[in-house]
Amino acid sequence: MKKTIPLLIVIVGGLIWVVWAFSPHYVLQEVFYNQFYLPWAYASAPFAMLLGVLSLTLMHSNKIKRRAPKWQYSYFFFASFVITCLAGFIGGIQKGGLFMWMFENVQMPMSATMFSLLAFYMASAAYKAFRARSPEATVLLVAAIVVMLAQVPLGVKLSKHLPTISQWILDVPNLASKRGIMLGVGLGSVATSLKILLGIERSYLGGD
Amino acid sequence: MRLDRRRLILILLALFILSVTMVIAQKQEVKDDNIVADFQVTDVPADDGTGLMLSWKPLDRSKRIIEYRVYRGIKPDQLFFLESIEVNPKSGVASDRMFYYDNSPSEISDVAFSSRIKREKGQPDNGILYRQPPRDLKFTATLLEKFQMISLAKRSHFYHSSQEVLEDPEAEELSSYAGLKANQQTVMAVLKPGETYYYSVVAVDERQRLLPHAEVQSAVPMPNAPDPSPALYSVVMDDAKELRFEWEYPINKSNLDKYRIWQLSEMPAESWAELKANPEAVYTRAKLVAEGQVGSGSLPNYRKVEMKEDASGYQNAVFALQLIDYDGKTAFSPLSKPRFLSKDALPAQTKFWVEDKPNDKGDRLTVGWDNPILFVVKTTSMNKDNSRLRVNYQLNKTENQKVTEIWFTFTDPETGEQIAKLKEFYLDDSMMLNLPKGYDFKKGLKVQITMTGEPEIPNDYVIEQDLVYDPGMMALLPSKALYRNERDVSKIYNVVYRKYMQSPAWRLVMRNTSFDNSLDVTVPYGSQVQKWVQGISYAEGDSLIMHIVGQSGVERKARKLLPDERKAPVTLMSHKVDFTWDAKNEELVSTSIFEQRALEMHEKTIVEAKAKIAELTGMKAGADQAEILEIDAQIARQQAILDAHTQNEVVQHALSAKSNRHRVNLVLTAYDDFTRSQTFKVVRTDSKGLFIESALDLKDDQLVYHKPISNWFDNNKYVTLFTTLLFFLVVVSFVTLSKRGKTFYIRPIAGLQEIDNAIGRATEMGRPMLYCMGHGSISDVATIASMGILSLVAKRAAEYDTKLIVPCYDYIIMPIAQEIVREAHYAVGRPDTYDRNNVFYLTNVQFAYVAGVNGIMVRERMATNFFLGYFSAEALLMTETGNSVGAVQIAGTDAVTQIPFFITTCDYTLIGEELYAASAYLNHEPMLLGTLKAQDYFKLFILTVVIIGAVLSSFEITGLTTLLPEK
Repeated sequence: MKKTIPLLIVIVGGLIWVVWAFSPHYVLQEVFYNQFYLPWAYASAPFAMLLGVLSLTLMHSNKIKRRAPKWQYSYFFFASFVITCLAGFIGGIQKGGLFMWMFENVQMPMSATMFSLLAFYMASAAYKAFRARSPEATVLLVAAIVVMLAQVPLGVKLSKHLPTISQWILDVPNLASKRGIMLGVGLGSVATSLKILLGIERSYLGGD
Repeated sequence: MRLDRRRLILILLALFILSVTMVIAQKQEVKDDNIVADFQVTDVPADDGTGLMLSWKPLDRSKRIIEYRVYRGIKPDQLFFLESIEVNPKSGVASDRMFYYDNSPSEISDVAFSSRIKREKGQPDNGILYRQPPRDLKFTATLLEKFQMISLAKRSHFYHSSQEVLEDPEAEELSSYAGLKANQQTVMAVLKPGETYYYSVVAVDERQRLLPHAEVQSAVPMPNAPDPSPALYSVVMDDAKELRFEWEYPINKSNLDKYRIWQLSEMPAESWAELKANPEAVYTRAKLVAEGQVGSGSLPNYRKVEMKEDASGYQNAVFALQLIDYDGKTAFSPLSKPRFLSKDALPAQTKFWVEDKPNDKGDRLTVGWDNPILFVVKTTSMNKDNSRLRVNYQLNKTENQKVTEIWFTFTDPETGEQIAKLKEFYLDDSMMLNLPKGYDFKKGLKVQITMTGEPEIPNDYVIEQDLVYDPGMMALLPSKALYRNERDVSKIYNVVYRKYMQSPAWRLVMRNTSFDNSLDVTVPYGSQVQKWVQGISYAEGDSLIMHIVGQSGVERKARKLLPDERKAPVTLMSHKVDFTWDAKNEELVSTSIFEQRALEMHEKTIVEAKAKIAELTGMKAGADQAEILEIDAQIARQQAILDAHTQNEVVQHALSAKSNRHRVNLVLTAYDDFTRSQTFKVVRTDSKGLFIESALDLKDDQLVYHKPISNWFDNNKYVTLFTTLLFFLVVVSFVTLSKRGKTFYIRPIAGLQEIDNAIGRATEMGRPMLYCMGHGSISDVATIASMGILSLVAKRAAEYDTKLIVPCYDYIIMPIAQEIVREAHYAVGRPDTYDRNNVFYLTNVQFAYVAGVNGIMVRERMATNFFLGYFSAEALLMTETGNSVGAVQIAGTDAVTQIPFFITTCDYTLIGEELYAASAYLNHEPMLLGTLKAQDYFKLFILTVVIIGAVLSSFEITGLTTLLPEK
């Protein structure tokens, strides 16, 4: 019973979405989706978030209690959590408030910093990928050099055919393999959905 | 000179004074510069007296202004936020002045507003700027005198949640209102003519600072004379004995009520300017030719009048159009000298049809009037010598029209010699044209287009265009002319009008060029109710206070609260609603949302109609023949009202409803039925008096009304449904086979085979493992697939007593992941080793998540990392860090863009669908393996279809290609 009822809910819910995908009817698109499902989803999402916040609070308070390694950092979690909550609840989240100020001047620059690291990691990953250790890796290296050179003026100076070759590499072998993967992904998605609908795949229920 | 202590003090003092002076001067300068200059409020010209125009000089670009906020009030010391106008701080405002028109309904109470009056940010205690007006109807009542108010409420709120408020419960004839609470509606305010309003404008800079506000200005909106019609076109059509008029409306037409067409003798423009300044003089000198309704510019702007004299009588005549607004103010157009034309000059009459738009939720109809129209949009040269062109074309057709093949014939515009004839069998809006060697590209081209399709397109249907060289674009572009069967139709318009059942008026839907052959008309489902606010009531002690809007202003009334009467403040609106259209008696039946009032209204209408009939019948005695005819007509009208209320099935059904809720639902259904039904006509015109109306859509001499149909199935998805069902059958077949014991070969997947080794390595090293499910949500298939693998990894980790850390990106996934890991520990008999703090929510901010995961990896010195799920830019950041701490990494994702990063930085990678297969592969469960095999065979099927499609398309057989959905 513990597994059967959730399974039934998933199967019935899944079937509703299958019908929804094929039917443009007002009852499904407007009454069910816009008037029932969306408000319900918006209303229930914050409760799930509460779970997340509780989990994080528990984890950090345990760390402090147990004096786990680097437990001092957990105070930063509580401090920033409290300050952000107060700023949001008291001052509001509109532009000009402390909350938005912190978002724009603390979180955004830190996110941008993390993102900018990507450039260096990409260079290091490219170095690993382009080492001509095998025939396949050599093909990759050559293709990469052609495509990279075609992006810069120097490449066009070297040969006027470079951009055409680069575009061909992107449009034909690259796109073909991408589409091959996407085809597999698409079919895999449908198969997984079917497995869930038929009750074959039950991992999302926890265990099993 | 020695710098002794005294001198140093003096210098420092001087420097201090200088800096203080500079700072003060700069502050003064900044303060002066930051105020919006030359702020003016004036009456909107040519309106109905409900609009004011605000204008000001925008601040300099260097101030980095991001928005200007407009504040409005009914007294100068309390202005509420009205609206903000956003500005690009980089480019600033290009014009010298900025304008804001306060001439449409603005929100004055909304559920999103604060319930208390709040001062604007940074305002001092004596500041005059406030945020939006409070969501407090008691406060709103104080504004009733100054604004006309409209309530906008959800249908369900108005029809089902309105409370009845009686003005005087003891009165003989009850005056009842529908009351709605503040949180059930949005109250909109419209300016009242003759009232004074105060305004100010504040600039907000990039640092979100509200700069000082502009000086408060006031103005009074007043009704003005309308703008004149820019042009009247007249045609004398002697062979048809008709005068035809067509005119243009001014931009501001919302207050226009009527028009009159006057005939005058020809006169100089100056004399006309002098004469029209005095309308009374025009009435005495001019002859009235026609008059009619304008309906705020939505009614037809053309008129046909029978000629009263011969064409020669109009040789010296001119015509003028007088527009009259709802306040009785008028304006005359310039004089129009008629054109003398014959019937042959008229465009061909439009034959139109109306069809339901397929595959929609039932809110659109298509009005079509022509065969599909195809025209060239542009050409692009594909090589240096311009001998190869890409031609982009556009095909306009209704969804039920099909075009199978198109022929483009390109000719030399000078010699008429054919250059190329192309057949387009796959319609992708683009094709390649090769010009003959030596052809001068700049000469241009002439293109002739013919097509075949369903319903059958006549063979003589030919569209032609001239493609001329544009030196600016350096390309061949189509000229403005569009020839349809050799006639230029580019200046002919097809104007669609519609009529509702309950109204005799035809209203404009849209004016279409000849490049369109159809129009999609939206017929929305009713979701909101809009009503004038007739008052506001609220309780004070044991009294009910009511502010009622009357003819002479707002009247304050008070009465004792009734037992059980609700105390919450409510807006008061009419409880009467339209119910149904009785087509037989041509009568609109109204009702009330309150049961008792509905019965009273019904009874009263019947009693009044019967009394009127009896009275009129009595008047017949002694009346002459003409009077009897007039009385009979009135009796018939009253009888129709009586029949509509006593014999109409819908009305009778609603009256016998079990409950008021049921009755109101029946009212809404009947209301939707007649308000969503409409009939159309299409007028073809040159906009200058040569117009011809289409025949009306009649059946048995009755107008045919169309109502869109809500479709249960999307016809474009038959193939998708068939394929899904086929796949379903294949899956079921293989699952059945595997249940019966058939074993399937599944190719080895290195990444999955290595999972055990990776876990073993972590156990041997005594270090933890990290399992990352990416940033997909629970609805992503990759996340669900990842959960399956997590279950297996957690079991192994529990068996070997290895710590497994699962930081979650999504708080909905976290409890599921916790449950999976907990179950795994229980399954292997190690519940004591389960620590829920190892499966936790981290954050749902992408790069903050990366920072968190990287920190955990470095601090805990991970031995093994699993990255299985949906990933984006964070993938490489995490795997490179994992690499640097020396962890064995197994990754898998269905995000094509991230696969290369995983391949380069991880030890093993599951590519695309391998991730989905992992659960089946690791479990070795027959049912799951069956689905894997089914997937493989279906891929083979798709590949076969792709190859067959490619081959058939090469032979111009496009049936299979067009059968498959594009998206």
